[in-house]
Amino acid sequence: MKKKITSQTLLDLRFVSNPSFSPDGRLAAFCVQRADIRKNGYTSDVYLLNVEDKSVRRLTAGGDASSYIWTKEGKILFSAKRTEEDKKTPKPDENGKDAEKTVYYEIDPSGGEAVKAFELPLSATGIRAVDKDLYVVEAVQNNGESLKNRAYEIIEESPFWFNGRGFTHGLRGNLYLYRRSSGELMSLTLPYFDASLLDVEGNRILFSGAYWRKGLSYQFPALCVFDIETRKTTEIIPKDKVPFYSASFWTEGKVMVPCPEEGANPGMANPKFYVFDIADGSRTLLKDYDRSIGDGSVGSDARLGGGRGHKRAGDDFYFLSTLDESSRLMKINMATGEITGPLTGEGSADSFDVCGGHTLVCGMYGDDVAELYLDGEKVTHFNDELMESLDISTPEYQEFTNSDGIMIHGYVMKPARYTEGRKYPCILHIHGGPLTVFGSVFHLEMQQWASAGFFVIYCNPRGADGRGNAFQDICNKYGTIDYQDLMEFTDEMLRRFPDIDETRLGVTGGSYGGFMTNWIIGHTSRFKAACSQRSIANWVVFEHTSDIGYSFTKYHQGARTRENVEQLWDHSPLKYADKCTTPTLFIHSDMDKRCWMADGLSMFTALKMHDCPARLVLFHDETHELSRSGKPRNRIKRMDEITAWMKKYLASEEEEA
Amino acid sequence: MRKEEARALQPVKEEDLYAMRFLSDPRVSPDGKWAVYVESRADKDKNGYTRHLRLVNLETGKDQPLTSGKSDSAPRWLSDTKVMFTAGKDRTGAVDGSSGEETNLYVIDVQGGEAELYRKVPLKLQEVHVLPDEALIGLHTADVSEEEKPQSLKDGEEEPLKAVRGKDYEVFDEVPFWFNARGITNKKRRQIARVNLDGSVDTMTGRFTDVVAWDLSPDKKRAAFVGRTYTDMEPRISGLYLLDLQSGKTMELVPQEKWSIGCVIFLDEDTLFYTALEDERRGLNSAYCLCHLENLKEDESGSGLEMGQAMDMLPFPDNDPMGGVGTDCLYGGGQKMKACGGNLYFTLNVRSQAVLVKMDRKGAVTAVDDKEGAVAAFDQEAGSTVVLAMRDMHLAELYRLDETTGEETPLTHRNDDYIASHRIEKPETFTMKDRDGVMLEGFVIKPAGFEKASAGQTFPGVLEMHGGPKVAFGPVFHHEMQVLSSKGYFVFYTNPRGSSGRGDAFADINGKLGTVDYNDFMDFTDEVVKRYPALSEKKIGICGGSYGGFMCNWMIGHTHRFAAAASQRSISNYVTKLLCTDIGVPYNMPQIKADPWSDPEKVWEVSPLKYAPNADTPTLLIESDEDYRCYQSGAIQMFNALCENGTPARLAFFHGENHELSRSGKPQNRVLRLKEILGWFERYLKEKPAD
Repeated sequence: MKKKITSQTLLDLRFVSNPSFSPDGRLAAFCVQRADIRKNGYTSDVYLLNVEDKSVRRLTAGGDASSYIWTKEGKILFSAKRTEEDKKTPKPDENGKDAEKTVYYEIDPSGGEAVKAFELPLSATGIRAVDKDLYVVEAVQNNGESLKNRAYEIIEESPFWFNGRGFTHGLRGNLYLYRRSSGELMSLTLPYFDASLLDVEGNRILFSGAYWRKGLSYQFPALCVFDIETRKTTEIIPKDKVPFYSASFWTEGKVMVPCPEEGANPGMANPKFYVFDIADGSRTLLKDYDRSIGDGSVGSDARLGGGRGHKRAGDDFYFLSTLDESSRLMKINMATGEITGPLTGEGSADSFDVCGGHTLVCGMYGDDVAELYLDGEKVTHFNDELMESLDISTPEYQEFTNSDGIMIHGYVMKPARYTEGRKYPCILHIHGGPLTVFGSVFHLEMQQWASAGFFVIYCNPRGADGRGNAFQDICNKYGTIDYQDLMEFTDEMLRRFPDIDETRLGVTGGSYGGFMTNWIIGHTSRFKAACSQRSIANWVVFEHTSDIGYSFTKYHQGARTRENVEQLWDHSPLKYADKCTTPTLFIHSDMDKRCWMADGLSMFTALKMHDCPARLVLFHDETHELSRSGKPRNRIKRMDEITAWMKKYLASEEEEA
Repeated sequence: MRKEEARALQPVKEEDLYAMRFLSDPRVSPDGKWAVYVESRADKDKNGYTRHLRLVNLETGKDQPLTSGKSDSAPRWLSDTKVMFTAGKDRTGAVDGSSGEETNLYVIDVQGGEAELYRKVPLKLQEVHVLPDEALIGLHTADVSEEEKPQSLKDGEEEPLKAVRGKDYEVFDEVPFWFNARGITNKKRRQIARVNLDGSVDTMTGRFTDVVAWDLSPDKKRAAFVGRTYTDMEPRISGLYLLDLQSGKTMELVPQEKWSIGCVIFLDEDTLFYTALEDERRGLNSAYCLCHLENLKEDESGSGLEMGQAMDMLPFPDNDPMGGVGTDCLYGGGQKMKACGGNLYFTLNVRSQAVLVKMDRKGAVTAVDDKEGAVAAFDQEAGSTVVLAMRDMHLAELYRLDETTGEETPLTHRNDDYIASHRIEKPETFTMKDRDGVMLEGFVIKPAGFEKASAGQTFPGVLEMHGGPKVAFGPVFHHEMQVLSSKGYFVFYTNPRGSSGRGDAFADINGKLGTVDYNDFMDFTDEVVKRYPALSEKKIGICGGSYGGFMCNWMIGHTHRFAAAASQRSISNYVTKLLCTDIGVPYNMPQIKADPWSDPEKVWEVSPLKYAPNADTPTLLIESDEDYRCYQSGAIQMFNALCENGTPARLAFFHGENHELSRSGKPQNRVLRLKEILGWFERYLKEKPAD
């Protein structure tokens, strides 16, 4: 008999990510990570795929190579701290500023171990090769007080913290040119200029950024081109004019900037293909488009690691895009704007590379977790044996027309070892975002609930990704049409699956899903157990504490506190917390600066005040990403907490036994 | 002070914290011949405090060191010559390598010789007493949770490969789940524990009962305690219980139904004194009550007391006992209430003073020591009364009190050299009427350079606001104020409506925060401006913590008259104050007379965040990440709102500190905090920033 999936299954998974072809296209590198319960962390190594014979072999063995690049000479370059010397923190400089260092190692795919390549006096976060000798380095620079051993934070800017990075005041992204032969290091940006590297082509570097010293942060960065030969920076788009997060060099003299049309709500509208003239900054619409550009948003807690979401190749620009419940690879002809695709199937293309006519996709297909697919053929099998041994519940696609006449897409997972005619408890699972989707892909926590004897149902209500602007725009509608879709979906699934015991329904979700869980328990008592994770309860607090509170509140709630506090309160679950009767478990992490714990604590206290059973588990030193990349022991504890809570209130005595 | 002296005097500086000696916890020997006390000093290098015992011979007046440890505290007399005290790790050494979950009691003979280990107790025990059978009794904080308990690892033992409660995560299943200065308190209960001679421990109180106050009977056969029993929401109310230490039986004297009981003390073997407050009068003054135990019937079933015997209410004094006056220069506690010769002695706030009074069994209160300043602690044995008091702008020192004449004789001079060599400015006082005809007391400390000022020269000023609001400022040494004065600022303060020491009519601003209290501050500021032409009206800063921080945040949204603000451990949004802090539900909710469901508009009306868009006053916010009283959410929300305005704002955010940063925080952090405040005022209140 196949094994039930438990919280411990996390330790058996291998996480494949970040595929990248070698310059000659004969090899492809990628990362494989796994949880290490002893270290209470993850190990990561670089592997190689031989494109011709499709053989796979491990390249690094230190467990410490989590991001890498190909050098122009065809070697793998990665940062690591391998020796005692590497681990030593440099002394602060004469001004008391922290000194930083990043050590790079290089390994030849044709044989031999990694050797130290060079060391940069920077806290590098990324590196790109310009040519064989020249690199562009992204680094975090501390422009403020020393970060080490300080008794207190001196904060003069907003936001001053960021999820996953802790306190960020005084920190700015900085770009450097590094010449390996001479060791020369040149800064491209001035202190307090916050830069991000976007693209490199020939002698030109495309980056975004803005100067920001005190007070409120800039909202949208400027877009700039740096010419390595003339050492001149040209600003294409001034700051705070155009909402964009990425950009690419395009046809001669142009850059493509995915951004919504002018006047659209940047928090709600999909970007389109806009092309800007480098010389005069003028903008033209190359191609109307109404889906995401450059990233997919299919939720899963069974993936780890990054990779490319877009790439220029020849006359085409390849990009990931969320279409319905899948993340797909697409391409657009840079000259004509003609879009071809999808080039990949249903599921989730997580990252990819293209080279010499080959397409290499890291994706989740069928019941599998992420593996590599070369031109559509599965070429890695890190998890095959495991997946074969597990009692997987395959999500069954459902669609129905809601009361507003809109088609809603969702899935049902039957409990493991399902016996028709028996009654089962059921968990409604709500994704975060809200601009993401749940799809058919492997999701560890949902599989665990199915294994524990629950039906699991989930859908993509209005506000979700993959369906276009009209569907995803729920500005100032939180808790209305999205709530309606979720309730009607639940009604419909109860009709279609009579074996779901409607008296034993549970609900859970994180982030926006936590907001919705908080909302649901204040608006209906149909759920007999709830688990609200990294949730939002009060938009006033969210606006004034979250790393993204200032803009997200405006774009999603249509107003800031000072403009319309009643509107924010009306859409705040806390307002309705006095009506809650659903026993609710709250899960929060104290380093979550996205949905800060004050909201979880407030909801918890509110429920306790109103005699509603409640429990809050607060994880130390975890962020908004606890369920996806938190420390393994904490992820296991979190899973066990949720399952225990659902069982306590939903399972029959017989099922509990 | 005389002018010719003033020239040689040193200005008071932030770092003077390291020069001060903080006296606390005076205890008189049973024969009345000795007084032992604790002296604490801030240790710059260790960034902590050292504490040791000192001894005063009450016959000769000689004051000398008694112990030489680094962390000796809580002295208690076991006989006329032997003192028991709690020793720190420095004395016990690292041998045990324990997690600090133990108590080491030492004994020293005041006639000579070194301290010796008396008892080693395998748990952290506070307020320890020795029972007649030599068992120990004290208060212990127990983890009564049903959750998996963190295992203590032995040497070489590997940690389990799973998340550990207390280290990796916390479970909250009750409110409050944390408490300022005590950390995470979810399913932690203070219990009366008896440690027998063989080391075994008996817990004497119920598993889910939190003992908030207790006292031993004079014959040490019984204990009375105030308890709150709960598993979900801590109730505002509490019960009063009598514990027979021999049988272990507990009798209920006042049930946990209606009253919140503040303190309890044995007046004699058969009479208890306690204070009680009806739930609906939360935040106001308590009733004084007696409980007559002689009428107790040996009855298994219930309390065996008629209601009148359990609650014999004395005339309403309209003033809570055990008061004090706000200062940042008291470190360590002391006794504020004691039964002596059939009377009850306690400290009491009377306007801006903390005085020592005695009360007879009819509830008649008379002053014992009401000199200007503040009594911080006292003790009395065999006719010898010793007070720890702040007098005449000195730091707290011990004084012998002659009760018949009311005269005080100084017993210690631990800070005389410091005081004599520094420029200490005594506040000038005046009284005024506010716009509603209510009398206010005003205090004004003049700036350095005031005497020598040229005609027309003006000085910046700082309005200091205390916390509470039901506490008081008085004419006592306050380091922060003296530093400000030394740097050339007028410092002025008052006790606005809401403060203690003037009865309920004055203190009751429940539901009125930001109205009459705000008006009093404005009227007071007007009056100071009028009386002191040398005060530059355009260069006034405001400074306060806790309720004072609330008021800073409130003021910057309601007036543009102030040029800078230093808002500390503040409140900005009452939704988070009510729902995220240790006293939000029991205390702040009645205080604002609203909650987010009954009256969300009112909760928002009283939240300074609502008015933040009006603020243009440059504002420094100071916050600590373990402050569970005025949680960091207050300062963070205010800071981000000010940034949204474009108002100059700075958030100084301390790690590992709590609501007590300014009073008992790590010394280096206290100095940094003062420097932050000074720096901000120098920048925005001085024409030309001083060096």
